[in-house]
Amino acid sequence: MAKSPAVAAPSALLKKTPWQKFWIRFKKNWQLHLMMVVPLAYLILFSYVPMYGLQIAFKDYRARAGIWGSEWVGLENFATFFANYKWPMYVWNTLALSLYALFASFPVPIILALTIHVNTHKVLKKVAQNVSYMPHFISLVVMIGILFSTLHPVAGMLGAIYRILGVESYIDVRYAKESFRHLYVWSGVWQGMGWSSILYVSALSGVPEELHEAAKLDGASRLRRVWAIDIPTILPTICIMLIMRCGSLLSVGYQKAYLMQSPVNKDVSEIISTYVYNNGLKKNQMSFGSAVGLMNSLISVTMLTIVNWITNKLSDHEMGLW
Amino acid sequence: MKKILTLLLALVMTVSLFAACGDKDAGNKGEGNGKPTLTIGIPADANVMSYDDNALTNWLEEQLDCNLEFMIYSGGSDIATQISTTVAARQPLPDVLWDISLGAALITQYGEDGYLVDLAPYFYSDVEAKTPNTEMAPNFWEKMDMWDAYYGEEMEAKFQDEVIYRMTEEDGAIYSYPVFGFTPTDSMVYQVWINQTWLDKLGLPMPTDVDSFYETLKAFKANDCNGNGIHDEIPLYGNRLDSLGADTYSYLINMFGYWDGGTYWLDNGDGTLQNAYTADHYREGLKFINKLYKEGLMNPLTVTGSSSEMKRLVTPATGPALVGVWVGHATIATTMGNDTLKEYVAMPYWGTAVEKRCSVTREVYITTDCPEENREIAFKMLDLFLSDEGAMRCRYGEPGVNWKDYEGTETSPSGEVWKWEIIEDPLSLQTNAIWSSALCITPCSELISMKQPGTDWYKYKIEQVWAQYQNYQAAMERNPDRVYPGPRYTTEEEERTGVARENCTTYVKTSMTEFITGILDPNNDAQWNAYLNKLDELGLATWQEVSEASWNRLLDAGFGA
Repeated sequence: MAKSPAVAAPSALLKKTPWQKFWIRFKKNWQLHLMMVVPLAYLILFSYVPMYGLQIAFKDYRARAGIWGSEWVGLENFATFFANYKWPMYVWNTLALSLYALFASFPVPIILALTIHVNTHKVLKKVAQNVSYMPHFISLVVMIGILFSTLHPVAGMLGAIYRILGVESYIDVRYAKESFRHLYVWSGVWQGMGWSSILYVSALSGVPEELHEAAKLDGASRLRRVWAIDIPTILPTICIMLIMRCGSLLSVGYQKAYLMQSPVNKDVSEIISTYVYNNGLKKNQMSFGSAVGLMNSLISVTMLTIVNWITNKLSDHEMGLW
Repeated sequence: MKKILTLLLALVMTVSLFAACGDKDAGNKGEGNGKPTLTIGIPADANVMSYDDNALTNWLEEQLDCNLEFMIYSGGSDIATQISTTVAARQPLPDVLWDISLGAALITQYGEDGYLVDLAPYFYSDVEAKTPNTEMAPNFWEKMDMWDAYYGEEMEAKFQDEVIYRMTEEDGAIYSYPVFGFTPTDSMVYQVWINQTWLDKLGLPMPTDVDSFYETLKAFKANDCNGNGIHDEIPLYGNRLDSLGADTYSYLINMFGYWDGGTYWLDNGDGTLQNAYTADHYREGLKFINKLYKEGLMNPLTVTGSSSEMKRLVTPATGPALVGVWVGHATIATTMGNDTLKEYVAMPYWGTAVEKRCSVTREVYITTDCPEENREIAFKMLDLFLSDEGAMRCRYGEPGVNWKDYEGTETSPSGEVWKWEIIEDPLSLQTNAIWSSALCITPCSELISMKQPGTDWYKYKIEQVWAQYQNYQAAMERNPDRVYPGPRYTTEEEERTGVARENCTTYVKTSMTEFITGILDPNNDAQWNAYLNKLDELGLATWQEVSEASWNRLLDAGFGA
């Protein structure tokens, strides 16, 4: 009598060890696991294996001696950062920029996604989406160049406006202290809102149409439907994105701030990463750069954990990252 | 059909992944001809079409009987960072790094870490006794003896001191081949230009002191000097510090006393130093600049602008001149050939001038990845660039095509007959004649030796730059007898003062901007004293003590004697 080729009898499964059960399930989905091999290898090779190099944060790294041969200096590299009398300013500038960017740029893609979603005109929807995420592909250097050329107080569009209005005394808004954060954040919003909205648009496409029809029948307005149906649907996505953004509050990249920096706005534009770039990488102080990076990462992980804990508490463990 | 197409696409994409793989030696020039090969790391220059099929390369290969290969770096000012990354990743460097600015601190670090070859034994046959090695470095020592022809014997001694000082480390090692320029235009940190057309229109004389300079700027601002009916005149404009050294602030502060902010210290004449950013005349200079800024006489873009912006304003593509007085290197504008520029003439200095007797750049190195047997060839190549023909080829390109020996009797502004005649300057053109439009070595003074194509434009340039040179020389006559050339510390001193230096230099730079833009008031004694007290808090005394020790070592070794 032939045995059933498919699933083993439940009683047979119950007799197996956890490892055997795992192996059975693994073999059943071997194609999916095979697909995971390459990204897993990438993660291990490029994210975990290099972690041993973090020890140079506690060493006076000299390339000739190598990582293992360089001398241990303990916390000296961390002390170098705090010995600079302006370190509170660097930390505050980084936080201020990051928080401003968070409050300004976080809601915008959500609003854009909702706006695109409620639009019934298919062509307009597609055009709006495509046009909104195209700036994402402009390189940062080009984007800053365009921005500064436009805002040039003599030769740019702003200069032309000044002349038409008869303005004689002006500040150079491109480099002024007062305008640095606004230019930094809102240019980032313009460049990134379309791309960031893609995730929310795709989440919104999972909203069942029947819910909207039922709500219409109950007399709900469009805005009411957005508030009661669309937003709760994408709320888990919003929470996850917010937790991840909070985890990188101190990790503002140096490139944009560096490009927009000038002697006039140094007090607000010098952030941790530009300081590390100027004093670390450019001067071949790899240990110093690693120490500050490690410090940043520890703070980021701590913040990520705290925000995740708060989210879990508030949502009864439904919306946290873990 | 779909399956076949999908499989085909997957195959093509997989194969293309391996396209980057290949024999790294494949296609190397000169493979198998038995000649030694030197690899040269060089920044990409958009105007150079090919480094391999290049007139300068071919000439050097012929002179040195070797093959030259190139590793091109792109990224402008980030090349030093790329080198740092290469070093940190323990990847090999090219044999020679050419036209790459690492900065003094990195040069010392790389030298001490063993990445750069100590060239002292090539410059000196007896390193201890400092006996010139005229066999290995004939052109270097020959050029070192030529300064008196242009500047007199007394200045020659100062120049020689400066070149040796700048090229040598504290421990006597030499990690880069110094490239020094003879052209007076390159010797100046700033050149000041005033709009003669505007002066004539307003009936004003050339300014001769601070007060008349101030009044002239006010007149430029108050009147429609360019006659276009729009109030767009910019009285004074200049770069804070451009890549060629022009520094508007230095020029203005030197109206009140000798000041070189780049070295941070001023020699008191008795072996002690005073910080340049605490000197009384520095404060006077700040008061004046602040006044110009507040009254709109100095354009705010001076604080933030770049060379490219200056070109746009000083030589507008359309419309009349916009600027009354501008401070900048002649090269910024004279490559333009814009007729608006001819409205400007050299303005005299009535103060002192930052004493930059020669431009000594340390941007050429031999790395320790260069095989021992090839180092002598590499050094000879670098020394060739200081020969007359080598320097002319480096800067002006191919003889017979870009330049030739002058055979006429016409004289230069100095009264000497021209030595060479330029046919077509390859700078800023698409060319295979030179390697770089940045590192341009010239064999001697352009103004004295090189007849340019005889257009009105070049006639104007030579006349004005010669006038600038004479103004600068006159200003240098007013300088103190001896000036502090800049710091040079031992490794221990670097470490001891590292934090204090960094804090103080950051503070003085930001404070300078704040005093100029009015955030702080240089006229306010309380604020000025608070600024001085803050510097003391940040460790100025420690830095001063170490700088004086270093300076006294130099004086004991005969510098400036």
